[in-house]
Amino acid sequence: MAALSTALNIARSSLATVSGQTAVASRNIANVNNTDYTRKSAAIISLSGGSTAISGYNRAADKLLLDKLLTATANSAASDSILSGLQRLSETVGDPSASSSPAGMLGKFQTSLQTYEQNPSDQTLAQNAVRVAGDLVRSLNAATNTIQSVRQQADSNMSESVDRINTLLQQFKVANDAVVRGDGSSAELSENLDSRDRIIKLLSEELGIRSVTGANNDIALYTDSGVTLFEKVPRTVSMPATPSMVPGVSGNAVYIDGVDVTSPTSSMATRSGNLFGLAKLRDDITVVYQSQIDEMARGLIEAFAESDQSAVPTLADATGIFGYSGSPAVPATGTAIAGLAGGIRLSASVDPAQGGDMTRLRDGGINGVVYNYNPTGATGFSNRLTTLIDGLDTDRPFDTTTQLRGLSSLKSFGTASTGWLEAARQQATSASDLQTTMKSRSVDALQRLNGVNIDDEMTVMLQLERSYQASARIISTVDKMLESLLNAAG
Amino acid sequence: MSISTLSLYFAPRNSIHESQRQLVNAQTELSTGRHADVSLHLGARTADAISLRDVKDQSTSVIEMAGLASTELEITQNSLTALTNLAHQFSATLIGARNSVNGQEVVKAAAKTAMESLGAILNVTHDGKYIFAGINTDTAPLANYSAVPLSSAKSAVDASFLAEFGMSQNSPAVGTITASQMDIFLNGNFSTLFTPAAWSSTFSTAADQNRTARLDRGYNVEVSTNANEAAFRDFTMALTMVFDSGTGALNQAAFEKVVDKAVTMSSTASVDMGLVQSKLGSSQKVISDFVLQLQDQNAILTKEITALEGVDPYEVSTRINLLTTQLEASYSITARINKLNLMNYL
Amino acid sequence: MSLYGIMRTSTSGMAAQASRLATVADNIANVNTNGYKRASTEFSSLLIETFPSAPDYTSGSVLTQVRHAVSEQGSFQNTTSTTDLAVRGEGFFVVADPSGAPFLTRAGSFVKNEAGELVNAGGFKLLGYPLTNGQPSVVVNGFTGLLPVNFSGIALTAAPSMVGQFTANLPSNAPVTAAAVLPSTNSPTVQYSGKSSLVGYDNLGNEVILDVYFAKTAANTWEASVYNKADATNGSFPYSSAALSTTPLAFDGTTGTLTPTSAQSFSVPVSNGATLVIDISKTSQLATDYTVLGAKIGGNPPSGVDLVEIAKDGTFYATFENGTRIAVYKIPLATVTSPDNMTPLTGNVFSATKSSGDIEVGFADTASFGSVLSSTLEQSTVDLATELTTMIDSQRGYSANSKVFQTGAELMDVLINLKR
Repeated sequence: MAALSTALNIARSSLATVSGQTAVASRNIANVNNTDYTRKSAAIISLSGGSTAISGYNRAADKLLLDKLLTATANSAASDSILSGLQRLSETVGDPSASSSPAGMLGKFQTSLQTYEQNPSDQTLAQNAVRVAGDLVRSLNAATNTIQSVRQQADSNMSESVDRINTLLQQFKVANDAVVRGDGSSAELSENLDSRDRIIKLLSEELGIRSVTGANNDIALYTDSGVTLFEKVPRTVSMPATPSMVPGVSGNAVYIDGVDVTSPTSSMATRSGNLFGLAKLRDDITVVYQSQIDEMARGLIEAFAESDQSAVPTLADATGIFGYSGSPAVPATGTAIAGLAGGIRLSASVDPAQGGDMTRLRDGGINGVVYNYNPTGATGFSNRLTTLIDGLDTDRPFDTTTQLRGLSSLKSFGTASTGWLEAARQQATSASDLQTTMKSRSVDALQRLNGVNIDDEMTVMLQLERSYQASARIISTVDKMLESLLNAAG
Repeated sequence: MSISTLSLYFAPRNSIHESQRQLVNAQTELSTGRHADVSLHLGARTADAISLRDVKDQSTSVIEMAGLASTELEITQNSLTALTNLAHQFSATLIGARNSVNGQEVVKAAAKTAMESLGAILNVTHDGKYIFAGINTDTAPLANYSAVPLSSAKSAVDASFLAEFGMSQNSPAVGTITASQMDIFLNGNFSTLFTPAAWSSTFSTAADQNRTARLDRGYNVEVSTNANEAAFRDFTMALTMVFDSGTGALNQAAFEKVVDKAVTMSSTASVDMGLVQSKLGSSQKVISDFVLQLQDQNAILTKEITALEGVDPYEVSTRINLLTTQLEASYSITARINKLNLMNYL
Repeated sequence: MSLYGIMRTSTSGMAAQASRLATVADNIANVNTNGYKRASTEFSSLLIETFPSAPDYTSGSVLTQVRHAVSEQGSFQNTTSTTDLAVRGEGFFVVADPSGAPFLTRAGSFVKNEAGELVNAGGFKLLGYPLTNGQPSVVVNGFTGLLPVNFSGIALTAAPSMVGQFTANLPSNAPVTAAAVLPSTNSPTVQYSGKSSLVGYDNLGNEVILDVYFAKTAANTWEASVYNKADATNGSFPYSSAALSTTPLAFDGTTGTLTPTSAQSFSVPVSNGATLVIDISKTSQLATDYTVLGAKIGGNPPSGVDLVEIAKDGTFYATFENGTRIAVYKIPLATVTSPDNMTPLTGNVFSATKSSGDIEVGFADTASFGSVLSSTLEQSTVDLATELTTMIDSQRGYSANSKVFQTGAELMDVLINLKR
């Protein structure tokens, strides 16, 4: 065997291998802060004749851990978006001590009525009661605005999420094609695998993802409900945004590959991810909460409606100090009217700011003299006020779509609504905490496996340096030997 | 398996974030004595917290207004006591003057003074309200009988007298009215002037309806009486007949009839006043009992609200100590990890 | 006469050493020629037979024979070009000169020429069996059927989808879909428990997306309907034409697998394409959600060759821009019974001779053939040290022979000077 040449050849291949490994180590070190980076190592093979070569690059990847991370990411994104929506909704409630919630305002209103009732001739107290009634109306209006803006935000976020999914799927196609084309040994391939995994991670924030790996490392993506997202080519994901969300108008569903994935009634609805959280917020939580607020408004209108005071009443009941677009007809009891809370207003004939007479709060007669409870105009008249105050505590039917008790007093309905919202927020917070922990654990587990340890890499570099020196020494030695041979021949 | 450098650095960082967040919350809790985010802590029980606060607010407002009602009732009671005294005094004067020489002059003068006192007492106001006016709180319940121009009460009495006897009370001929004629007049046409309906149209502008206060749902108490009560009508009748049924020029027999009737009416009135007083007294009792009950209830409610929303300051300060220790440990670990790098030893 | 004999013998010795030096020169010149096989000289003595009783000895001469160590394995060198090939073990690449005459070589540094053929440093084209018409029929002792490997001809190819495989789990607890709203009815209000779409290709390589719907018709009985997505209204029902295929599936209630009598595949007639047979035999019906476990549809769209991959068995794969990989050529390896006896020719090629034995053609990794290494070159088998040693040795040998000649010549002088 041609020993000296072989020795040179082996040393040369060793130098090439070492520099390849150095490149890998320095790439690892360069990406020490990149969470999407997977640690690479060069796979070394020895060829016949003793020389070595880099046969490929190994990625420290684990599909199981990655799948776990995807699930955790999707769940965490879902609970986060639900929580952030609920946080905004809970602005309508505030701290219990501030009584800024519609329920708290209702209590304040009752107190102001109570004070007025005790001293019905006192104009200051009447004014105060009417002012608090105005605050109550405004708090209902504001709650409706907040709810609808949360819905609107959720809707446009969904639309943005859909755009992002489409963009990511396009990027995924590029990365996947590159992986499928690759020959399984080049350094770029492992980078392509990294970037493909990164895209999958980003996608899983938007919705639950399942990946199925096929021949040539080709990946097909499905939603957690089994709808095809990507198989050779990206599937269409579409959702037209609703320009203006008003109560009672439901938002558009997201369609993936022609399948509705956000309506709860769909057999293939996604169950995690940002998109799921937003859809739940937009189509479930806000709708129910709006119906509760609407029912509070309806109950208020109903409780303050006035009836014909003639000896033989002939006229229908009419709305009192609280009116709405359908006034003076009193809305049907026990049936929610979408958006009523947004349209409830203080009757102009009571509101001094609109030229009204605030004693109508005490006497009635907003809809004409036949509705006047105090025809003599006695200033100490308080029976009507007593009835009104009691009316807030009287059980009345409410729509069961509110998910609250169908028969309760307006005040307990109001506090129950607040309780419902805060219970949802509490639950969402603990769910979010849990999912965030799960996610950070998954990230941690994956990082332990994938991540780069600088100390490790530095040690490897030291080894490589030594190896390089040794190979170089072999080359110079062989060179000296050949030189002496040439001198002999000369 | 080696741990990645990134997760090595991240591990304490994550715990530092969490600790800092908790520390801020704990500090808020320590300064307010309540949970940092009460609603979040309570969840569904936020409904309870709001209800409790509402009940407490309502009770506080009831307690406040009960104080006002009690004051009014107190004034009413004092007025009634004064009136009862007045009635007794008047009866005594009547009885004393019945057979005295210038008895007619004496009683007429006494009646005039008593009428003025009655007017002053029944027209008493508190806080801008006529407290004997029932729900018609904005008008004085009793007009001045001797006012100029003629009060409706005076003209009704004048008309009735003229119709009965064919002369005015000032006529010198009133001495001709016999005792039996006077008796018929006093128990007949004169007394019809003091039936509730006639009274309300002539003497009183008060409402029959008393003011009420709502203590709780469906639990109302009357907190006023009104000038239309029989006690006031009867007493006014006694005063009026003494003052303005020809007294001064009546013959003795007729005068005695007037005095006897007036004494009877006066004593009926003082009995009735006692009834009104006791009725209002029971209202007072109801209110004060209820206030006591509410105060007890409020104390319990305050405790319940604190139990729901409050935090244990000892627990919180212990927690703050723990968190601070943990944070310090995290900082020192981070510093050590940063030092722990192979680069430093190469 | 022996003096002349001495001079002749030493002349032949010098000639032999000169030949040996010539091989050294060749070897050193080709120390870096890939696929070069070291030449060496072997000497054999040529003696004049004399009778043992003969009084004098007549010197003979030396016979030189040049040997090429063709079967010696050179060491490998890695390169970055995938078309740099080497053989590990026995066997030679079959190449052709511009006239088409076949030769064998180990020099595998092939590059694409302007015609798309792979040509090595010596200008020889690599030959292989085209695989476009299925597996090649190999003539073991000849080169029939071999064509120059050429990638320009396969720049654009499209293959319609013919076969596919689809594996999913159907939710066993799904509600039964009413007959009136089964996906096969193509009504706008259909209901289904699972839907997937698969990408296939027609004859011209157009992408055809097939929507596959699964609906439960009764316990353990399902119906699979396939529609062409292009016919869909806003991506869903109703489709403008009826289902391409509707297949009832029956599952075993105990194991959750398809019953043996149930359909195991569905045939979908792709318009302007082949009939696509999708194998669904591994589909199960278990109590979990609709889950796709695997989807693979054959065929590929028209696209250019992006990369060439060469497998160990000598198969050339063309990787298209869309990631599809198809085998286009398979190169054979050839050998002879005695490779060392082949004639080396210019360009590191060898041709078989009578003494080398007949040509044998086969594929890498089969029988005694070695394997084909891509991105690798076989280096020259020359070892500089050996050659330099040989050179010194030859020099000494030559000098010694010339000394013998000189001595012979001097003796002749003495002889000639005898006559004065």
